Amino acid sequence: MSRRDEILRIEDLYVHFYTYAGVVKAIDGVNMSVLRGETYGLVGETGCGKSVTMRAVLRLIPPPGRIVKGRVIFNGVNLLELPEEEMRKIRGAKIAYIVQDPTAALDPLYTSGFQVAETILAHEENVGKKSVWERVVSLFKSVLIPDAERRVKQYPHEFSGGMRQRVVIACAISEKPELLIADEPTTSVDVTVQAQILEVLEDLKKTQEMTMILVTHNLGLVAQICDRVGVMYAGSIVEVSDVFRLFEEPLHPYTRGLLNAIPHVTRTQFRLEPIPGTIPDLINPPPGCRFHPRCKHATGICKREKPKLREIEPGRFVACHLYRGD
Amino acid sequence: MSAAKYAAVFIVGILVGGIVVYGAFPRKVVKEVVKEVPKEVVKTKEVVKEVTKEVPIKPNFVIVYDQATKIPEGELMRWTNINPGGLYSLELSALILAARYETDAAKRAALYAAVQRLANDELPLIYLYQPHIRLHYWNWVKNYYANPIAPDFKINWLEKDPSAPRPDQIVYVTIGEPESLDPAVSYESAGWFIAGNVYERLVEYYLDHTDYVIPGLAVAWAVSPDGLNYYFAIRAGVKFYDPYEGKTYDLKPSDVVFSIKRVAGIKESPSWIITDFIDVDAVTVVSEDEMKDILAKGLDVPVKGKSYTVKSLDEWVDVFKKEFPEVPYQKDFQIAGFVKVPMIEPYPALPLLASIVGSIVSEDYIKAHATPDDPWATEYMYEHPCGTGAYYVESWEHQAQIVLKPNPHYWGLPKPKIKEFIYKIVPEAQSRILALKAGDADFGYVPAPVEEQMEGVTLEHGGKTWKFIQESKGYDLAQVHLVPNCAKPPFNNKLVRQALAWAIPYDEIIKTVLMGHGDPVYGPIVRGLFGYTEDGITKYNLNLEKAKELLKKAGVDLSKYSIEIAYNEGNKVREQIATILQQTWSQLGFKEVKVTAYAWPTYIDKLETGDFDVGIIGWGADYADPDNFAYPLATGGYKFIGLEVVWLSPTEATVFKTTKDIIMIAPSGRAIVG
Amino acid sequence: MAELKYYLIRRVITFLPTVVGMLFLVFLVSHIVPGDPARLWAGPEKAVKPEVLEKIRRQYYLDKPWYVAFCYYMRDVFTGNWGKSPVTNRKIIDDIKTYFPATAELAIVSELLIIAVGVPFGIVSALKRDSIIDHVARVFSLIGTSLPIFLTAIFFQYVFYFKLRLVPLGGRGVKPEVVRTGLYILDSLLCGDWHALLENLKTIILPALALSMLGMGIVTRITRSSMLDALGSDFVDYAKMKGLPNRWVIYRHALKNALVPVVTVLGLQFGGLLSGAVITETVFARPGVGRYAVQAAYSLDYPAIIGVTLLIGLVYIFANLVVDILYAWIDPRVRL
Repeated sequence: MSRRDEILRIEDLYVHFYTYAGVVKAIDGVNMSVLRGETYGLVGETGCGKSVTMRAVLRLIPPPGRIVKGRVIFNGVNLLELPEEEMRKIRGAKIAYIVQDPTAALDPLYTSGFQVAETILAHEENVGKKSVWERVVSLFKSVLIPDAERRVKQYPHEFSGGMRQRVVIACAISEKPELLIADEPTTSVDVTVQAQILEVLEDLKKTQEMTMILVTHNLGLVAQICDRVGVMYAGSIVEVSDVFRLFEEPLHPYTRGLLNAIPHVTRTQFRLEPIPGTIPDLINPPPGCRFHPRCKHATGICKREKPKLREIEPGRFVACHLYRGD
Repeated sequence: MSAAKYAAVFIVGILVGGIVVYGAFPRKVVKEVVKEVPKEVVKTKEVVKEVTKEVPIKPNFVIVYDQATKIPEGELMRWTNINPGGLYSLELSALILAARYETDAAKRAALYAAVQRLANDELPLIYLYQPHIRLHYWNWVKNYYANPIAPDFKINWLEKDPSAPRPDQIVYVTIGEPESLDPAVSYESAGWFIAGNVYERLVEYYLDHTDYVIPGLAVAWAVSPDGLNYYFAIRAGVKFYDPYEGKTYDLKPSDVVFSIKRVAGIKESPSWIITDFIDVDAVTVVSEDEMKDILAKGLDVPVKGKSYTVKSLDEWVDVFKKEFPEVPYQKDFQIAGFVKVPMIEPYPALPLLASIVGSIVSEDYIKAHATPDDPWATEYMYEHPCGTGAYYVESWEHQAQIVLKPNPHYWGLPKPKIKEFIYKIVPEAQSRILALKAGDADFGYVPAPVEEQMEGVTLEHGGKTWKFIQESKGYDLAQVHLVPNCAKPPFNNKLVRQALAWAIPYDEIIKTVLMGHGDPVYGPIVRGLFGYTEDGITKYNLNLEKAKELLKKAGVDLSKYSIEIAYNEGNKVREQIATILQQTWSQLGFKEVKVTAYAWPTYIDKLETGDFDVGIIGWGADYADPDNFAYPLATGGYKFIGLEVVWLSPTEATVFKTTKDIIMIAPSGRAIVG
Repeated sequence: MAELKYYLIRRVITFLPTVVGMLFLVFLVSHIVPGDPARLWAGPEKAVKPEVLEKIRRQYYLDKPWYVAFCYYMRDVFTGNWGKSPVTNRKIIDDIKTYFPATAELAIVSELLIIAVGVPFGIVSALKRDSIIDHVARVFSLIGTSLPIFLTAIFFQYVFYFKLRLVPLGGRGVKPEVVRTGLYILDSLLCGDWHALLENLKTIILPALALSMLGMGIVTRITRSSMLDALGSDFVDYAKMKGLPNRWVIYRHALKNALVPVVTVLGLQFGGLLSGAVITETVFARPGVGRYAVQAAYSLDYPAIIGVTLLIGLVYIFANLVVDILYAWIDPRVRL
């Protein structure tokens, strides 16, 4: 592990969901480390547990889910042991979250400006109404919402999808968080808006000196703005690398599969190669490495023992038996 | 018609008829008995109607008429000029009209007895039952006398045991809300009860009696021998009490005249009780001198079923001082003046004037509250009664309660003892029962089906154990009957109607709908009215063999007929009756017996237009006179010119040698022997 | 909020045509019936004289073509001439003015009870899901919706009046010294007649409880499920993510959203309370419009039946208007 300043380290996190169908072992021993000031991309297919992991950081796992084991260390403090009130102060202020679907996230009954102001009021005492509103207006401007003074008084249903996402971003940055978790921030918007939002995020990163975790399944986005990438599969991190080397030379078979599934802009491909098989049943996951049923290179040990995340080269981590030993 | 015209027509008729029938009849009888007798009378077989009777009745009167016209079907109005069954009957029409105009009490009773017998045989209706009066009260209430004629009881007679709960207050829980407190407008029992206690009439009924009237605001009454003019001596010293402005008005004879004219002027639903019989325009005050002149010619005084003739004021007043020892205020009285009430035709005026619509109101009070749009002050009188009675209305909370308090200016006796009478409207039977059980109510309306909940209920209070009494006291002046459509086969055959009357389980019906608190009735006239008789009456009861026998005799095969028993929707009692009938009549061999409920207006429409098979309906008294039952329920759809009853001496009667009840003789037609 | 104003104006403008539409329907039903409508308007008596029928025809415009009659009819309704009852001989409007306050009072108190009991119960039940309180609330809800009002009314009367002697049998209550609105409780409060206020509260509590049982059951359940929905919604989740205090999350976001369907139900309930009042009014001998309507139906007092229909229709339309306005006030999406 790098000795550069870690803002967040997740150790051995297990999150289980106790449903009628059975115990869903969604997060199965995640280890993650995010360095201060970087943009960390958390990649994986839908359902691999990316969002759950991030929600675990905020301790917002809804029942029937439970954080069973592990530590989440933020700025040296284990968040999982904090009293609830302390945790609340961190949420929205120190660690902010941008949700995937802004339409559902904004309360339709309150104005957008109010919902941003709320965040401020929740974390600061003795702020005058006037100054709060002024701040909200300037926040709107900083996320590139035109006609901010008017917009602030409008309701979410009067905004387009992209604008709503910007409101969410405004909420998120209102308290100048140290860590910003952006969960699929561009999935529900179209391409043009996507570009605008990215611009905003890039801008923010520069001006606010935030650390950002970008949760996405969009590798193109990752390539654009991330510094480092963590690949997640079926509840655990399988590869961590800096963005260049990940794309040049993916190590984990899954990562390779992912990259092969993307059409290359310049190279001619005869066929897009999907990864055979489907994601495993998390109630009865396959023993050993969870990827082995779909892996071309699976051997006997893969079926028995779950591989640990190990640093193969400086800054590159893989959880695969292929890279053991030597 | 006036007396003179009547007599003239009669004479002409006799002259005409005499020519036709002369000679057919034994001369001796003809000379003494009747002027004309049709030849056909001798041929008794054809004209004498047959009837099954157990006891031969010697005929003692003959009805003679000049001309009879059948009212055409298009002009028939049931309950008004024909019985609800629609059965045409010359005899019934004549008999009922004759009875109506008879002035002698004993003769009238005989005529109504004859009506009862004839209707019992002809069966324009099939009579089911007459209910008892049921009283439900705590035994701390004293002097509770219930009268089937409104008001149900007089509050000033009531007393309460001092150790009872609320010793000065009586709470009466019931279901009805008055439609008006104006006695000229109200036509239902709740309004009549209140008006009956707040207002008074010329004559009243005493305690639970309905067979005779006692003096009220009139100290004495008399009638001219032709039965057309009634005279009343008005009591002096009576005051009307207006509690809303704290004023009083003196009762004057002109108030009586005004009250009668007001009823006619308002023309509301009960007005007919006055306007159908009384010549309202000719009602007038009579001066003392005029009265003495009229008395000198001789007047009849019908009192308690007897008849006196008086020729002077003293004689007249004397009768009334002696005949009513039980009435405390008749021992001593003064006369304020006299009123003459002429009748359109001879008719007993006393029951009419004893009914609530005959209540006396104060002319000055009415005029003080009249408006140009409302000259009779009906709007004000709707809830501001001003009467001479023992109680006045302190407040009326609509649909909730009426509070009555003693009239401080009451002239009469007994003086009110109950300081507050609350007429409380509680529509839900269970709630009434709770209030009674708790002792918060003293008496009230407990419907027959829930009576058992109050059986044996007791209450501890004031150191005593009180019992709740439920008992039958006398008969209600009402009956329930079936209406067969007498114009439609198979009901157009008398024998079929009689057969059906033998096929009804009367006891079961009475048990089911009245819990047994009632008795069968056999004709239009009910117990409690004079003219009610059980002599010569066929007491129909459940006898299916007899029924079938009669059907055979009639030669009618019921299996050809599907009939429908109709009743009005929502009436549980009639529904039960219909169901019982359906069960029993199906055994007679009808093709089908259906039971159908109709909405009230539809139902009434069907009955009025003759679009039905069998209906179930009832009739309650408007006033205590047999005509109020006989006429609407039994009249036979004929109009007459020249109608007269001739009374036979016993020897004359035997000449006719018949078992029938009445003889009717017409110059133009048949003779009906009776 | 500017939009709310425009919405209000628009909504109030549609109020009038709705009323006219309802009037038209009532008019159709009452004037264009098979048979002779004059006979119906004349009342339930067995024999009606032809001159009376003629008078009725003129009074209710039955001799005119329907489009003309309707105009007269509307004019009559708006000027308060709702006809005269052939049974009570009083003006229908007077009867309604006498009886409506009693029912309105009962309905208002019942509605308040429903809100005061049903909504908090539902909220607590949702917040403490599957706890004892939740189970109690659900059983209570079941009982409230299953027991027929007749049974609860009589039962309450038996227990609280007869056995415990805590309240009177029923009735209208005590008239306060100064009557302004006809709602005795309000009036006694306004004029400081405390004795009357106490008596009136005692008189109304049982019927209001009996009448509101059904509503309480329904509202508890709806509030509970609506609240659960809201608590599980994304924006509540998001509110937590923003680090809002729990109180804000529950009461500002979850509750307000949860209340939207509840408000609708509460508003429509009110109309239902008016009609449900019939049985309550009968059992507790309270003279109101419910009983008046039943009497009218029983005695075939046609003008009264039509009058009550009009009244209830108007109340429903008005209740809907209030609900819509409340709805728009709470939920800005509706104002479009």
